[in-house]
Amino acid sequence: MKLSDSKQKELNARIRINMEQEQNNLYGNQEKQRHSLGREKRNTILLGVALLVIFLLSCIFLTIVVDSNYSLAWAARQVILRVNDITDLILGNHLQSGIQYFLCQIATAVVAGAALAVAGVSFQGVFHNPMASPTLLGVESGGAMGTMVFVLFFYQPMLTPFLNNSVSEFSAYALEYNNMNLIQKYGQYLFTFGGCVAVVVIVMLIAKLSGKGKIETVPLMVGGTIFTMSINSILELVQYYLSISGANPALTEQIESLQTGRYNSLQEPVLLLGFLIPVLAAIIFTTAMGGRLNIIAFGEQEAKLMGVNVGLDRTVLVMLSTILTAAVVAFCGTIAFVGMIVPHFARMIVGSNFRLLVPASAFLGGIFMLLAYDIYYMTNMVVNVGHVVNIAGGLIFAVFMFRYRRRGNADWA
Amino acid sequence: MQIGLEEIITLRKADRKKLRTRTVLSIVVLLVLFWAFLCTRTVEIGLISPVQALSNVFTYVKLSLAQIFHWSIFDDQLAVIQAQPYYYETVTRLEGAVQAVVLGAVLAVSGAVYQCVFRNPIATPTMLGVSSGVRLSNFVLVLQYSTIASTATLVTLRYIYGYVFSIGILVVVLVVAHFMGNKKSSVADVLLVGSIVSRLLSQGLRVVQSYVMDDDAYLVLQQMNLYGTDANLGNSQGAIFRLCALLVGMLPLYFMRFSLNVVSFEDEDAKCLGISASRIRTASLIFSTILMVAAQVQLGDVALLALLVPHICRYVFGANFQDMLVGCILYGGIIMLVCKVVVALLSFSPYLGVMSMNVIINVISMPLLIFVLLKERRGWA
Repeated sequence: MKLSDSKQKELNARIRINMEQEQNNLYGNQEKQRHSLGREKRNTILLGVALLVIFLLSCIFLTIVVDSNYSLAWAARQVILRVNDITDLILGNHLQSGIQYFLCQIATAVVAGAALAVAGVSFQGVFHNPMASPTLLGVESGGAMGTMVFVLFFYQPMLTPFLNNSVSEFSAYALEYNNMNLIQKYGQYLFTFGGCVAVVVIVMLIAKLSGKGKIETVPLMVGGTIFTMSINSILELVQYYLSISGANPALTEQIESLQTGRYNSLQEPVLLLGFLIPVLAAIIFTTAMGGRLNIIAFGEQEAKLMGVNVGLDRTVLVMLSTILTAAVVAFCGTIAFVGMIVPHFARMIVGSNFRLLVPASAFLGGIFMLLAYDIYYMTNMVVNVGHVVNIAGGLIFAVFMFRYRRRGNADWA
Repeated sequence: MQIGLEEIITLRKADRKKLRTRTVLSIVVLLVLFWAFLCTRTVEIGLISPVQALSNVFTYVKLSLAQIFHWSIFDDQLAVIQAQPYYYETVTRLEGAVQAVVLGAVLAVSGAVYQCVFRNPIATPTMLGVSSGVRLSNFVLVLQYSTIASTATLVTLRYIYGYVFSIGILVVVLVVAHFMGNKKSSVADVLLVGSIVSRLLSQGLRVVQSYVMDDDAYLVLQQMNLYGTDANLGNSQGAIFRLCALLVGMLPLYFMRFSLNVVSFEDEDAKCLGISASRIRTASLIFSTILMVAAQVQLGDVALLALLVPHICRYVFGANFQDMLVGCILYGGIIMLVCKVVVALLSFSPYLGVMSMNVIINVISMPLLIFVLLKERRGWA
């Protein structure tokens, strides 16, 4: 094919530029080949999935064929009864001690603050951005979506309304509550948790596809922002239609309580342990990865030169933070400022070493929530606690940033 | 290897030619979409013939000119109109389509400016407190006027309040960031202060609004926040405000298009080159906020289009702001027309009432943005 002179010249120029760029990219191509999914990894994942399927099938086999009294739900119930016995032994029967209500609220708030602060610290390290908060990847909107799905399709209100404090009605309430199945009791928390994790997994898949096997920070952030905005707009529309059509106000109340925050939902020992155990485990894991966070905060190329598998570490840290944030969103609703502000305060006190920064921000997050609770109880519980946290957090942040940044620009990382 | 001057000149000529073909192609797509939108019907399901739609438009133009210049044809306009079937429908859709294209261009341009100024691919124009300012203005209006705040008589007040509060918040944010950073204005400070202020405002509003007003007024407030003045882009009540916003906001940005490439420099680098990047940055922020406020008051909370279109334009036209400006205007118009078609189709469904445009915009932008993310070969800048 004979090209004209100018087109031939253009083609030559482009070929030379491409050759130069390829020589520069050889190292990048080698890296890509090394970190791509190898055969061993694929076989391991397939084996895990096969084991999970076999386990579920055997449970179904056991229930249907052998004896319908023994099922997964029965096993869960046995575990719950044992746990209830143990905590009743330790803390006293919760029907008799009123202090347990108070203690559970405080414990929930403190642990939620610690969880969000640790999630915020690891996000700020991974994304190398002082504005990163745990909600960057759309966790809150995923939780809202999970709650919405549960409220629209699976919600079954209790038949016995809890009207007066008389003994007979209370026993009817307790009887019905004990006879609810797992989905009715814990369905909202499960759906919210699952929604959070699902959205983060989808965002990470999109980032992985767009980076052609590698996860980069920019597609992650863009994906999280997209999902947050879209799901928020859909949620607002659904709330508006619910309030117009005059549906059961309990439906909108559930979604609204997700947005303001509630701290009195963990009265059962099972729920409290189910909240505390994953959160504390994730906090401990993130503390253990403090050294890796230090190296990753240098930058991607430097971390790779020091032998750190940046993609894997990034994925692990994001999943840990997601577990933390999803637990908090599922049990307490959205809490706005803690994940972004508390790491900055902790950095002012402890410095930028992530080994010290992670536990320091955990403690500081708990202290922050305790302060908010003190304000709430001192103002005689006028408004919701979540509102106090949000507004107090914003004001404290504004005041501190105004005063402390004036004295020289502290490098945040 | 050295690359010579001749090769660079050849490459640049070829690149500009490719850019020109892409621009012309985008303009053609926009015009075809516009024409196709004019041919569909809203009252029933069906299509008008494209020639008929075009002749309706010509008649509309002729009659408006006749009204202005007092031609004789204006006297028997009724006969002229009745000779053309589907005249009023086409004229209504023409107005709606023009408003949609203008709105899309406004959103896209303000999004492009914010992304350039903040050097961040997830920068949206609502970051400096525009959306909370508009919500605050809606709140104040409903407090003052109760349930008639959402009617047509108060549209001008909605625009005025929206402008006053949003620009006030922007000025407060810029001033506080200026004084916070030791009299040096840096982008990160503006961003932090803007996020704090908008978060505080929205949380405060959420606390206060359900306690202060009664249920009817609260419902009206929710409706105003969700739908804006003009959810389906059919009315032209606030048109004079939108026109003013377009002129005041878009013209300076158009004239500044050569220097907006500079705002992505650091302050010190720009000073070495003798350019005051901070001044350009502040000015472009103010103008794009003026644009964005008009869009928000008209449509409610919509920012995903402002995030999406600059990504597409960067992918198609390159990161040069002069080319991106034209591309943003065209692609913003295209995507808004597509959204309007979807809303028109959905209005035939018996289950949904008046569908809000901003939800459809968000829902349509999501897969488009994911698609652009998957296709981007080089980095976002």
